[in-house]
Amino acid sequence: MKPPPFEYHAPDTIEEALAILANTGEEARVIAGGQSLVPLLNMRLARPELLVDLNRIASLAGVSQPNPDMIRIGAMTRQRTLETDSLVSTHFKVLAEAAKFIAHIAIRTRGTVGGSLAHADPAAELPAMMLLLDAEFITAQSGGVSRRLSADQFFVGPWSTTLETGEILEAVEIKTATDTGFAFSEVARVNGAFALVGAGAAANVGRDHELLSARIAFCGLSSTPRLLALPSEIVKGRPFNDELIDHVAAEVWRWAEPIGDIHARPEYRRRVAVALARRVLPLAVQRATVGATS
Amino acid sequence: MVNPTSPALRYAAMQSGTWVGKPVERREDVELLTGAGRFIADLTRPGMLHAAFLRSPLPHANIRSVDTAAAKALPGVHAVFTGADLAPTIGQQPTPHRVWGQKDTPYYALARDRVRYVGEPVALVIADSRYLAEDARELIEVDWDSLPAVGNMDASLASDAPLLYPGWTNNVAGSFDQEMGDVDAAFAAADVVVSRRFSISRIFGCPLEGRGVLAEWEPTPQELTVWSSTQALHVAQDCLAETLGIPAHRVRVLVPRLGGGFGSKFHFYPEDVAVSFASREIGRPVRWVEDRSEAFLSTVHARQEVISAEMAATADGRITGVKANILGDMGGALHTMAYGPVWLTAVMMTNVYEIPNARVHLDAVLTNKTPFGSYRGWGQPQANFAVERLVDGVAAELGLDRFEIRRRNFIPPDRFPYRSLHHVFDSGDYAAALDRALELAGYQEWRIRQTQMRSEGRHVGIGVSFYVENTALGPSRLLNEGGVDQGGYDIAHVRVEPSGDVTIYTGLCDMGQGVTNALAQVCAQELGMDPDQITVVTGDTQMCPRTGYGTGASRSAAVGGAAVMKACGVIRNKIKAIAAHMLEADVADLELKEGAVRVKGDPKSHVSMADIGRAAYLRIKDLPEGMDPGLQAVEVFDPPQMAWPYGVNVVVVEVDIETGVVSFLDYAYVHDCGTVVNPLIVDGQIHGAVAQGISMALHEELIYSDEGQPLFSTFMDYVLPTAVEIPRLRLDHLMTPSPIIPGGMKGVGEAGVIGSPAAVAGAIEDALAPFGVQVDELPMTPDRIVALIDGARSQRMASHPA
Repeated sequence: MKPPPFEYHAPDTIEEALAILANTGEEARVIAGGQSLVPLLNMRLARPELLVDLNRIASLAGVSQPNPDMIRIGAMTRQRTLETDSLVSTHFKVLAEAAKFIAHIAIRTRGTVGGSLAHADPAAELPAMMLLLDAEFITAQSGGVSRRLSADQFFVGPWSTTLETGEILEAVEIKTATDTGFAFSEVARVNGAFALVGAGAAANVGRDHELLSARIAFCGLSSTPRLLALPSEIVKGRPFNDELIDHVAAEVWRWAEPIGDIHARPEYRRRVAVALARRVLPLAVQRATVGATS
Repeated sequence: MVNPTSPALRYAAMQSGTWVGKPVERREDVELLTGAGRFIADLTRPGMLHAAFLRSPLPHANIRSVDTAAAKALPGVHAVFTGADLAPTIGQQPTPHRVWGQKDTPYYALARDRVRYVGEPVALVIADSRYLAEDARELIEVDWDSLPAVGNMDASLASDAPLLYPGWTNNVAGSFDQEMGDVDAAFAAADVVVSRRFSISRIFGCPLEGRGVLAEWEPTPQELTVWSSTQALHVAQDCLAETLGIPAHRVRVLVPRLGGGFGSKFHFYPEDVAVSFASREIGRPVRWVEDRSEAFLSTVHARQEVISAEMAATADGRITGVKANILGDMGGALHTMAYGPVWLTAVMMTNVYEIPNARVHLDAVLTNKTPFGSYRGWGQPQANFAVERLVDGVAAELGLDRFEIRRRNFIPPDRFPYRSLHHVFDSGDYAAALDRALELAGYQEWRIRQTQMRSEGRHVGIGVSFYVENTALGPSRLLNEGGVDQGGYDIAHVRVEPSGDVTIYTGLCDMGQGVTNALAQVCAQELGMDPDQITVVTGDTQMCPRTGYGTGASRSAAVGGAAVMKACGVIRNKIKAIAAHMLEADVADLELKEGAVRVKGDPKSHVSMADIGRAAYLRIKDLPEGMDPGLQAVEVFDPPQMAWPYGVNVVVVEVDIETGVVSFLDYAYVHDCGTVVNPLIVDGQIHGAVAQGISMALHEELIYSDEGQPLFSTFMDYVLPTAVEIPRLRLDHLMTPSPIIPGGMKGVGEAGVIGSPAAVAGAIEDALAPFGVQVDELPMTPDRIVALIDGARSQRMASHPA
């Protein structure tokens, strides 16, 4: 469990980091919190010739509010910060809720938001949460090029994103949504283990408590994080009751493309996706209702 | 009755002497908790080199050739060894546990011409650093001739199965039969017969610290020093001597701190030999530290058995017979302890019940997987799971309560010593423990709450299991008669120093269980001293007396403690003789108390242990005329039979039927391990072992493909619980001293792991009673629980179409 030799750089600025990456090409890897990459290095499953460590680049870390309608989370923000940051807890408490399910505190204290997103593990919570929150991904390339990608554009497959060689994920930006209620829950083999299935729900309700729209994002269910925007014929303008929940459950059942592994069969994941949908959606609706009336 | 909610009161009730039974905090804890403990990975020697093993990636293959040239050419690499290099001088791996009918399954420190499991060591690289050694390992080219492999026992037992050992007629490495009474008549006359097939998965001890070995060869005189993470000091010494061809007294084995062992470190491993060989060849110290991924493949696996069993009973709930056919999955070769654990499963198939008729049969089946071996409980958790689940089955058939059926079948207190299938049980009052557990658990109240919760749509179940644990392994002669070339005795060397303080030398190993505290407390009790004045030396074959067995089989406090007591008895007599002379008092009037010898009833008349020590070694003229100087004793204790603690698990769980997640609502545990030496340690042993039993029931599983490929290499694949998954235990203790052990101690190290899987499984089955499912397979993962419910639902739909 020792990595093969590699060159190591720890630049102080993002420009410097981009320049190093531009000069090395595909043989280089960016290292953030190292909670996935270091084990891969030690098991020699990843063999980069050069590592660019982003930990010294202060501008990449932290949560900010660039304008009143937006929260920006720097790529090097620690996952643990999602649980403790006041901006996050004011606007997206659900991120703190989901972050608690990421491994253990020691790992969250090192692991970063950007690292998790760029690693794109299908069972990881944050990619699914970014889909749910409709986050925008801001990247940087050498020569001052920056791209803005939707979460949907960013994740393309298991452990695979549209980040290009030499490109760094800089931050995600999420529009605040006071009229939306959110909730997250997860089933894992044990506390801190990867999700068998995790589900986050978002719901908007009208003045008469009727549902306007709802969506549910899943991790662990399929080979990529996936978002189910519930069809408007099921939800729009409907009162939130058992009948509606049954319709949602049927829709999740039909829509799921569950995977199997040594921990659970696809049938199990489909079943749990439905069970979680039945649990998180009512909570999201309830929170939206409280938000709408307060 | 002890108040179980107050540890202080509970501990007070367990204190039976000045020091025996006192909750003394462990002497090693400050060192361990502040990170000052030194383990194999912390040790270095001048000029030390580092080792990395190339392991087989194939489950079954012949080795055509191994090309090490490129690896040897890498700068910083000192040597690369293969099986061919070892063959001229190194013997096959020993199997000290040998019983009748057991076949020889040769395997070597480095595979010679065939590998039989993924992870089997094939080559050894020695380099300046572990990094370089792993770089060089990648340059070794092996020309493999891959063979068909068997990844499970069904495949291994098929008539056309590939054979692991050429020349054999099948893959069975040994069988065993035992019978008592008239089994066929009992089953013919039975009112009810329950038949079940139990499957227990492959798991392993998985200590927090993996294994490690640091070997240093001294050419003059030809001596080998090995720092090893072993629980069995003298097994390691003997096996190193045997394989390397060195006289055992020229092999010194040293054991630093161990980060747990759980039986897996009782075993003697290929790496111990290969690293020692390398040191001898190169002439420099060599260290190998197992990494986590290696640990999953190269440390012995355990538990995996399939038990097809039947239980016969009368209509009034008297169990009259048991039959069991047991298959043990041995992996690619018989390891240090061969199929000992499977044998123990077989002979424990009557548990604590007076069942007059029993017949057991076992087959030890080879498969292309990591070899099978010891893990806390040996074969007992499997036997307990099968028997207790069968008892639940009989209760269900007869509509009897789970407590009541057990009560009706216990071996009664007046039947001890009781001859079971193989063993003689020393003592016990099982009904008393059951009654206490019923009360502690609030069983009747839980039944009421269960009914109420069921009506609210909640799935709550109550499980109960009764276990007995075989401890104080012995006597030596009986082990030998069983074919095992190991003893059950222990030797204690107790020495009063010139300062009056005491040093105990023992062959037992401290693997984190706290045995040195127990021995010090026993000694303190016997000599009227404070344990702080007593040093316990372990883990050095050059200083410590031989142990017949090692640290395992829950024997240290009972057998080791009794040996210390015996030695203290000899010393106490001499101390009194010296004191009588110095005080001009009668020996009969003396007592050892608070670090001095005192004349009873005369507080002013005493002589301190320091004065005694000085007299014994320095001021010889203070000794009685004719008495030899010195104050020490070496005494042996060989238990006349085994000691049998026992206990009850009462578990309340709730099952989420949509997700299959099990949560604990309550866990009550009552046990009797005879005299308690240190209740803090006893509680800790129970907590840890119950956690491992729960984990066996719900979480852990080493999964292989049908072709023998392991589907695990990290803790992402092999699920261990955290503290969050383990419920708060409510404990209570009964204390019935063992009549056969001086001091009355029984072992406790394995107790908690034996009964907990059956109780958890029983609770899940009870929770799912509305579906009518049977829980006969472990672990009960969320997926398996959901599958059970789905299976029951579809069966119901098939038999009662809407």
